[in-house]
Amino acid sequence: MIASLLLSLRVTLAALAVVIPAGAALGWWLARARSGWRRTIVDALVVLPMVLPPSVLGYYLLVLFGRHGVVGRVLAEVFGVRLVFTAAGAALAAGVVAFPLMAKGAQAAFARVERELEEVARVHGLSPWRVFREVTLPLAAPGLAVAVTLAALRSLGEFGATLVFAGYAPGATDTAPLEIFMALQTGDDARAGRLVVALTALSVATTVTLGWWTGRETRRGTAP
Amino acid sequence: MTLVVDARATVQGFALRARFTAPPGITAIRGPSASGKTLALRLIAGLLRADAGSLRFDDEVWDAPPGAWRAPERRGVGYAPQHAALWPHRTVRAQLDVIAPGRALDGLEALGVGALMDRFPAGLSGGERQRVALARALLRGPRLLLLDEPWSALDREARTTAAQLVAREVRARGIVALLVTHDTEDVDAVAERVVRAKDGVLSEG
Repeated sequence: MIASLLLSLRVTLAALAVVIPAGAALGWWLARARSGWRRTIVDALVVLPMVLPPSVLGYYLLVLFGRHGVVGRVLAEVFGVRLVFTAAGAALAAGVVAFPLMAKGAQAAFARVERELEEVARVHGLSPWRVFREVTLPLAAPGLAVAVTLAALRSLGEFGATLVFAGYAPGATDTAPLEIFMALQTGDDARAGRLVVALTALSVATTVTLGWWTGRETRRGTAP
Repeated sequence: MTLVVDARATVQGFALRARFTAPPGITAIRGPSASGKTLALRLIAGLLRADAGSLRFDDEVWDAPPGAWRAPERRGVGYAPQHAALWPHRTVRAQLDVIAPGRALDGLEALGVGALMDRFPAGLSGGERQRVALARALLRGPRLLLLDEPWSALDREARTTAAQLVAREVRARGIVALLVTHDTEDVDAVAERVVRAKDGVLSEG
């Protein structure tokens, strides 16, 4: 049970390492880009992994990254990397489903930062990068924290796409959610129950901590 | 030090045409609301780019489409926008420190900002915010000061103090100041010249 929880954490951290910077960057672009067909299309596409059935998503991942997939074949032949039945594959599935939450959350967080506050900083001598660091980022922080938390919990709980794409491989892809399913299939209800309690506790602890932190930020006047 | 503006810009269908010269001293920009006063300040600050014409300060070209453009952070401007636009996550001290680390409020004591140093903007009155915004605009020793109705929320006495302080600083440093207002009393008190704004057209006289 501990092994599958640790694997879940590892898979989640690996997914977040890519999802947080990439999602934040795309969210920033969506919040700041001029409206036009380009932004409209990206804005619509980014939520697809969130609205598609996980099994459909897993199928697409197989078509793309599977052993005979367009990208998968190149990865296997050139780099010797295999994703199906590996933890890396589970991380890819987790990352794909978590990405929209990060990107849309970051978009909302950045959109709430008043442009005028950034402009005044720029006029008073701060370079665009320093404006981002001193003004934009701190003001978007509470919203970004929400986005990171939702993305983390979503990838921690990822089941459908992982099962379809990465498969069930003990020691490699048997994350806690897959382990719960397998335990129930084999009649080990007690094992499933323990994992359910652990995942529930982790999720509740995270959201409560987040609520406490954003509440404190709001009281301090940091969050709009 | 002289600002020479002869430029056109368009924002969401609103056409701005500004043509005036501002030598050292205070030049008031007077006109009804929605006549392009704030847009003109944004153009001069570099927050809005000209479509045509040119914007010069001394021997520097700040904006001359299609080629020349000087980034806002390199123009040496002090800007107090209409509603102060203080950074909500920073104390007054931190507002000032981030743009001019370690710089003291020398000569700006009359603004009364010293007593507000550890407060966040959310805890300030409208008048206090405007005084902090004025201090922030003056702190770095700008070459050009852009003030957008900088004392609209101040009471009469504080207004006089602030206006006198701005006039004194502008004169002592020999800098150019543009003061947007629709209160003629303010204009008469401190401005040496007037630019009129009407329907997006700004011109001298």
